[in-house]
Amino acid sequence: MNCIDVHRKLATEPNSRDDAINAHLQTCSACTKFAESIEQLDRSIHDAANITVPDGLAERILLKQSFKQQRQLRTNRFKFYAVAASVLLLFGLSLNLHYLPWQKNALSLGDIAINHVTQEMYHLTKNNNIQLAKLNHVLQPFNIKLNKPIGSIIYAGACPIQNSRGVHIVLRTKNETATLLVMPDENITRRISLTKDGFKATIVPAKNGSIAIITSLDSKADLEQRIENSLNQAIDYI
Amino acid sequence: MKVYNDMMDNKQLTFENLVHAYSAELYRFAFWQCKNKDLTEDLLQECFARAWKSLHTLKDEKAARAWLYTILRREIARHFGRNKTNDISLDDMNVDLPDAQYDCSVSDDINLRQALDKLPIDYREALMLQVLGGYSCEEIAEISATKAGTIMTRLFRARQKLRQLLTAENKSSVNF
Repeated sequence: MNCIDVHRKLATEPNSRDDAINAHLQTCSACTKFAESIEQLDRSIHDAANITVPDGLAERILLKQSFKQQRQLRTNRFKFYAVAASVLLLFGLSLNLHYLPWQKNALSLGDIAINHVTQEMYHLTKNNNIQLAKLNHVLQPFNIKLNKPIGSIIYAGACPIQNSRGVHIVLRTKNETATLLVMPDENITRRISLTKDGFKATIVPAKNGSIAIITSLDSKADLEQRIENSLNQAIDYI
Repeated sequence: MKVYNDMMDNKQLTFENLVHAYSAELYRFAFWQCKNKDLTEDLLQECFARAWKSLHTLKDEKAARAWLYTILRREIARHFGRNKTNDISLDDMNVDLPDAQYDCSVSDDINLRQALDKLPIDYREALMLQVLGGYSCEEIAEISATKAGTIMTRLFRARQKLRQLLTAENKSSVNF
């Protein structure tokens, strides 16, 4: 190890002298003097850099930190309450979605339609055969006509439905009976189904208001669909 | 809930111990980087706030001191917007032989503090970590996220520069 190596080592880490450096220092007075000057320099640096620390530093740090934690706690609580409120709001909204005005109307309309049928069950057992012309005569005030038969009509008459008037039609297809309620003032935006008291009501939007198809739960599964298809093909809006 | 409270009490106790044990030396280290008492205290506060947040990551209590230095150093670097490292090998530098006239004892603390002020911040940082903190080159490199060779260079240059500044100061004093 030469003098330059020793200087490098001493000037970078004065306190870590290995055997090689110590051996060199024993034989080199210049490097020994250098080592002493570096040691003295470090002692002086330490003394000069060792400035007075302000009184109460640790206590101030702890105090400020405790204030910060309190603020954080309040913020966290606020966040918690905000999240909780949001969850409640979403829950409330999701409940309300089931009871939006149009849907509430549609649901109650299903009840009304089935109730109407159950209250006038005697129409279901009639054996009349109402012709298409007579049926259209009943439908005319409601600006509707059928251009072809949709089945064997055993009853057709104007009825009070909800707070307005509509047409109550009972038709028989093979051995199955179904009821149609034409409700010109009951507007809905999408079809809705309701099962109640042994009947199934399907209410479909029409050009004017809506039309309910009510069948017995004992009927074939596709009866409603068959009637709806026939109706779509036959109905004309005047 | 009791477990949570016990955990928080334990964390608080650890934190208080850390503040009491190391705030003074960290203050000195930070002061020599920013040379402003108020700013030093603010940076120290921020350092301990960060330490509080990540105290759970400190697994070995023996590493606490270096861990705090690392946080503080980052905080200072963030404040001054410096993160670049300047890697220079000690082998690339000229090493001058000792100045026989140099005698540190003739310099007082004021001269030395002025000389320390004039050191580039990277040099002063490494020097303070070694002289005040007692860290080795490897430990300083770890704290500073820098190569050990670079730290050696900085320490060498720091002492070289200090010697030059103090020698010039002594000569001008004599001349005066």
